[in-house]
Parts: sequence; structure tokens; C-alpha cells
Amino acid sequence: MEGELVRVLCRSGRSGLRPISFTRREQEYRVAAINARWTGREGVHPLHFYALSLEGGGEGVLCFASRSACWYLTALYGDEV
Amino acid sequence: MERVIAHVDMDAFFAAVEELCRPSLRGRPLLVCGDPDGRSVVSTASYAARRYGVRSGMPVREALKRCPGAVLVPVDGTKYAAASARVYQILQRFSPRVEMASIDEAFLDFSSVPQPLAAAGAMKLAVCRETGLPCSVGVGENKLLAKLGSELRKPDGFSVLTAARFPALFHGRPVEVLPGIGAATAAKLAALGVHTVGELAACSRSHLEQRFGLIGRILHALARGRDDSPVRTREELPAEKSVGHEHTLNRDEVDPGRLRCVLLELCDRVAERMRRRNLEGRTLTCKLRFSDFRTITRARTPPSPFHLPQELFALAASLLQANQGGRALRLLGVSVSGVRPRGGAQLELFPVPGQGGDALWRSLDRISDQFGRGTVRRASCLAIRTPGL
Repeated sequence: MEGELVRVLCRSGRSGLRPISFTRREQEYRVAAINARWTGREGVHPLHFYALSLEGGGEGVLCFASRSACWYLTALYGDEV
Repeated sequence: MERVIAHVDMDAFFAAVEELCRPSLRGRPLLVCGDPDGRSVVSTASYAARRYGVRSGMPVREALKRCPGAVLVPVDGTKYAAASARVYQILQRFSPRVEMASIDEAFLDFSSVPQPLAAAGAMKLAVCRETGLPCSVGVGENKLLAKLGSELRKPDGFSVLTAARFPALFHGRPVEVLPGIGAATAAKLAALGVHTVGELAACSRSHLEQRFGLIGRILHALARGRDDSPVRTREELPAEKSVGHEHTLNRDEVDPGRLRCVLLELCDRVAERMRRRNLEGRTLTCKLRFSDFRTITRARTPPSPFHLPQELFALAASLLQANQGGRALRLLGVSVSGVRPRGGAQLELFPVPGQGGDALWRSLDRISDQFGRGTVRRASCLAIRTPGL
């Protein structure tokens, strides 16, 4: 799985996991909206992607890798957007 | 109308999916391209970028000259496949007969649906509302008219194109607007003095058959807005006739060693797809595009069918060696045609050691299945970077 390992606070519900915030390099990013979600594969193991808008204006993509049960930040778009 | 066919064409699909994921990109010129760092071509340009004359298939470098402020986004096939699957799910609610013509377009047969035009309109709304992705819909008496209809009002359009309206709308247009007529066929038609759909429609069927064989009959029908082909569901689609893969190199490459590495990875990929479908092939075709964009294809048909990566590579490498001539290449492609289910092949009287079976390859497939593609790579290919391969 390519991406930066991050710590994610998420809510678990009927529609699956829902990220609320994540911490990267000791900075917390709060999720303003989940714009899209989709599933990929790493071998037989599902990868759950979330395209997010962040409070403060940035955007990013988080991925939950079910094989390792870890969250990865696969993209972060900030000031340049 | 006896048949009622709808064509759904997702508008600037890849770009629209990217805009959905990153709302801040909406309205900005956006280019979805293979490898923004390399010199790939534009896969999809958003409508904001198209206003600058950017088109799919254009080299990214050229696109950036026309639209310097464009945002480049790498292709993310997983994301688009997921969005396409969602669209397919929605379409299935409106007709039992859905044919996904590609990742971003589909035909639906509404012939047995009551009030088909209303159903087509509701389908368009459902796709847009439930996915957040815009699409254009064309409705016609056949797949050709439906497809041409969806092009009439893009983006976010809905058009009905009847056979009666076809001559007035299309006879004055160049023959290339007809699906299946590309640059090569258009050039052959131009040599006959045929440039527009109307001029093609004026040609007799026998004249076109004489010039183009069976294709002539198809051209004759297309120019009259006729198309009898059915909408085929996934189960009804014919089996693949060929399996292929190609790769645009990051820079023009002249070094035979590096080219052989790319070729080896291409052969591995094609062989893997054949192996997973339990296919063997008769003919291997190698596609070479030189730095001046001149493209040649060269094929070889060995005495026996083949399927192993090393068999593909031996054929492809000999074709590369015979045709490269020391020139720099920008694209390499390998395809195998004449494919059929494996089995029934004649056994070699004196088999070459190490080429007996594909147990090794099937083991590698299982590793890929378990841990993802690229977990195991050939050591000889580690030095080259082939994103997307």
C-alpha cells in the first residue's frame, strides 16, 4: 500500500467506517465532507478509499487497508489548490 | 419506432470523477493523464480545458502549451472502475438489456419498456443524482443513431435522433463522425472523393463492397443510419479475439537492453491475462512507435500455439530486433491474436527444458492475488520504471 501511515479517528456505522479526523506529523486535520468512496484491492484484501474535503479548505484521500487494518493518507492537496 | 435504444455517455468521465473527489477542481481546466512527470497523453480533459483546444489523446506537453493553467491529475483506474460499476448498477434498474460498451458508455435496449422515452429521461436523472456525475443520453432506433444522438448535445444533454432526421443532421458532416471510421478509412474514402456522410450515402453498396470488401457493406449501412447490431449483455458478449498491452515510455528510448526489459514486462502482463483465462494464441504482434510518431506493427505466427511468457518474449524480442533499426522508440506494444481456449495442442516431441509448464507462473499469480500486483518482479526489470504496467 503506497501512502503515508496516519492515525485516524473514525465512526463505525451501517455504511461502514466514516473518518472524522486524522493526524499527520502531529497536525490534526478534521474532515468536513466525504466527497466519494470506493473500493480497490491489494491482492485479495480490500482497500477502502475516501476522498475528503478538510476543514480549512484542503482535500485528501484516505485509504483503509484491511490486510493491515491501517489507515494511509494517499493524497493531500492543500494550498496549491 | 420498432426498436428503442439509448446510449449513455458519461461526460468527461475521468475528469468528472476527479472533480467529484476534489470539489475545488470544479470548473478548473483539468487534465487526467497517465504520468504527469513523463510525456504521456491526455486521457480525459475537463470541459474547462477543452475550451482551450485540449483533446483526449493529445500529448500532455502540447496540452499544457494550449492551457498552461491546467491541473494535472494522474489516472486512477480503480476509482473510475468503481464509479463505472455504480453507473452500471443504476442502469440495470431501467432495462434488462444493458451493454457496457466501455468504462464510460453503455447501450440500453428500451424496446420492451413501456414509455421508453420517459424511462430514458428518468435513467439520466438517476445517474446524475445518484452518482453526482453528468452524462449525455441519445435515443434512437438503433445503436448507431443512439450513439450519434448522445453526441448532439454534450455535456448533460438528452437527444432523440430518428432515422428521418439523420440525413439533415449528418449528411453534411465528415465521414469520421460515424463510429468505426477512423483516419485510415477516412483517407481511403477521401481518395475516392468521398469526404462527407452524404457523399458516402450516395455510393452504391456494390461499389463500396468492391473497394472495401465486407467493411464496404458496413460503411453503406452506417452512411444511411442503419445498424442492426443488438444490445448485448455481459453474458452475450463474444469472447476476446486478442489480448494485448502497450506502454508509452517516459522518454524516447534507443537502448535495446532497456527496451527488452519493457518488452519483457509487457509479455509477462499479456501472458498473465491469457493464463488467467486459460487461453493460447496463434499470432504475436509487436507495435513500435518511433520518436517521430511513425508507427509500425509486425507479426509472427509460429508453427504451434503459445501462451508462456518466454514464448511471447522470444517472438516479440525477435520482432523488436528486426525492426528497431537503432531508432528511438516512444511506445511499445504486444498483442496476441487468434486466441482460443487452451488444450488439444500437439505435444512437443523434444520439449525444451524449463519450458514445460506454467506451474511457476500460476504460483506467481497466486502471490499477486494475495499481496497485489508487482509483489514479485523480474530482477532484470527492477532498474526500469514502468508505471501502469
